[in-house]
Amino acid sequence: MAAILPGLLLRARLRHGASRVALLLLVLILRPSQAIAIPSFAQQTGQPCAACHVGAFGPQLKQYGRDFKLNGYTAGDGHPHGLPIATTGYVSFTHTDAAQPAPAAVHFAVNDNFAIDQLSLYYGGRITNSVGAFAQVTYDGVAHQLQIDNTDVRYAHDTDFLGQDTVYGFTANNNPTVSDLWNSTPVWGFPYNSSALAPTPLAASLIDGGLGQRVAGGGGYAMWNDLVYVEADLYRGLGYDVLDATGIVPVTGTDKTRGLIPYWRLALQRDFGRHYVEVGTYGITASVLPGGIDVGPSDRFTDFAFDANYQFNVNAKSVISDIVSAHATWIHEDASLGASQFLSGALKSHRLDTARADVSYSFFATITPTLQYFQTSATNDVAYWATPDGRPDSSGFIAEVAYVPWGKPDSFISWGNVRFAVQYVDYTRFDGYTHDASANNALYFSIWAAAHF
Amino acid sequence: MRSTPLLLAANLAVCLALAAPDAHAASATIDQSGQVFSQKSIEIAPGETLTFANHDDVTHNISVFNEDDDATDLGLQKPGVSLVHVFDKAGRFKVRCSIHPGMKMVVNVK
Repeated sequence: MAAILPGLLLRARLRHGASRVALLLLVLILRPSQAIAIPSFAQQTGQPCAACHVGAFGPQLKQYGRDFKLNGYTAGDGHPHGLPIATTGYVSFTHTDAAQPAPAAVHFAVNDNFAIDQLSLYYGGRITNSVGAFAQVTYDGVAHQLQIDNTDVRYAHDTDFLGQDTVYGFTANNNPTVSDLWNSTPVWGFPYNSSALAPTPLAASLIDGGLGQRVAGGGGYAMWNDLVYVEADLYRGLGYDVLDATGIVPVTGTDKTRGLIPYWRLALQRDFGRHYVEVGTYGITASVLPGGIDVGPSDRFTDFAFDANYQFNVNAKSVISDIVSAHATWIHEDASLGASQFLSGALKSHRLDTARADVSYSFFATITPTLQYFQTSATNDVAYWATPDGRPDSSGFIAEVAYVPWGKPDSFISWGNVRFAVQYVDYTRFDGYTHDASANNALYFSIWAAAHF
Repeated sequence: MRSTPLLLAANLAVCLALAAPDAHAASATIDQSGQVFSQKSIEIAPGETLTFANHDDVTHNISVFNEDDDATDLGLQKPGVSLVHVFDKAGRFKVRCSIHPGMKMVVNVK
């Protein structure tokens, strides 16, 4: 689901001297969140969750899941099922290695917090034969806020082009990479849910969640010969009044974007029997007004990224087959900080690099352990990053084991599913420092349930 | 007794003829396995049939589209079930699974 990201906001807050504790709270409240598979898709197609999703629970997609999305969420079994409405919710317990300097959020303690993280309502499925939607409204139980969440409405059609089958379509959405088919790009990447009550690193690139729900736009895409995927979208930042109306808070004092924001995507994919490989590139460029203040110049961020996916299906005939799945991405950001230099004396040019790679093995679409390595490094700048020495670098590992009892062809419950997960985040570096980085390590238990009406 | 060698030879010839690869086979079977068709295209003669055999553990729903994009829905096909469709007119037909849009093949009837 949602990826309201603190990137823009943080930069503005950091530059304007807010306290570290307030910033920490802000990060916690606005941390990226994720969307999952929804049972209305399963109802519409008559397929179990495991047909589309690795581990029988979203959002990690198999080839069929990618095809379903590519074709506009419209595929179905031809039977009427009523409106495709579904709901999800998850609850959790978070323990960090050291107590935090202040309560993790309003109404929460400095450590060992139980939370109702999110309750979401979805329209997920066909609207017409060629138009479908994934649209989500979420109540954030940590921020105590109802908000418009990830939305992707698309039209899709297939035709012949250069003698080969081609699927083309159009998407209207509110989050760059929400329309993407792969789990290597930011919105749908691992971890698929994470604690809203544990510290997270400050630095992130703009495309890595910084625009989620704060922009709206759309564009076109095409998959040629099941081999080449291209997509180009244009976004525009939403005004404060729209953000306020859609529940995207806080509003006042947050960064604004100026002008149009182009997003591009190119990917190559290929099936080699039981092996599947994808390599691609994506990116975005945007002008940002720090804190929403227009002093003339703006900050220009340009993100250029590469990604790769690999899946190995042990028994392709069975949707509950064991699957090895791996994703990787590297995002390079160049920033020209004309506005921040004027406002706070930041260096004119910045760069930020993020690398992530994860691998999982799903046993019988029931038990799925995953391991991820992540690393972010950026230009040192005491006038820009609110860390002791101006270094925002972070790195570490995330280990997770998920257990999903249902969502298989023989499951006795077909109207819903549940996912139990335990996750541990281990920092080797956190916001520039290595000593005490482990104080931010977090143990996170979650129970995630989904059902359709 | 004297005719036995001739009969054997005749039978062998018939068997060999039946076993020989033939793009215009009177009936061919397309496997549905791993949510793909076993062939991307096939050429048959008018009046010949194709058998679609679901070897997956999920349901399929095959539709056959003619050149005017009119669809013939073969209905839901549960795991282990085979469906037979007669292609009685010449033309180029697209075969799709309405549940699994990645399942695609072309049948050329001529």
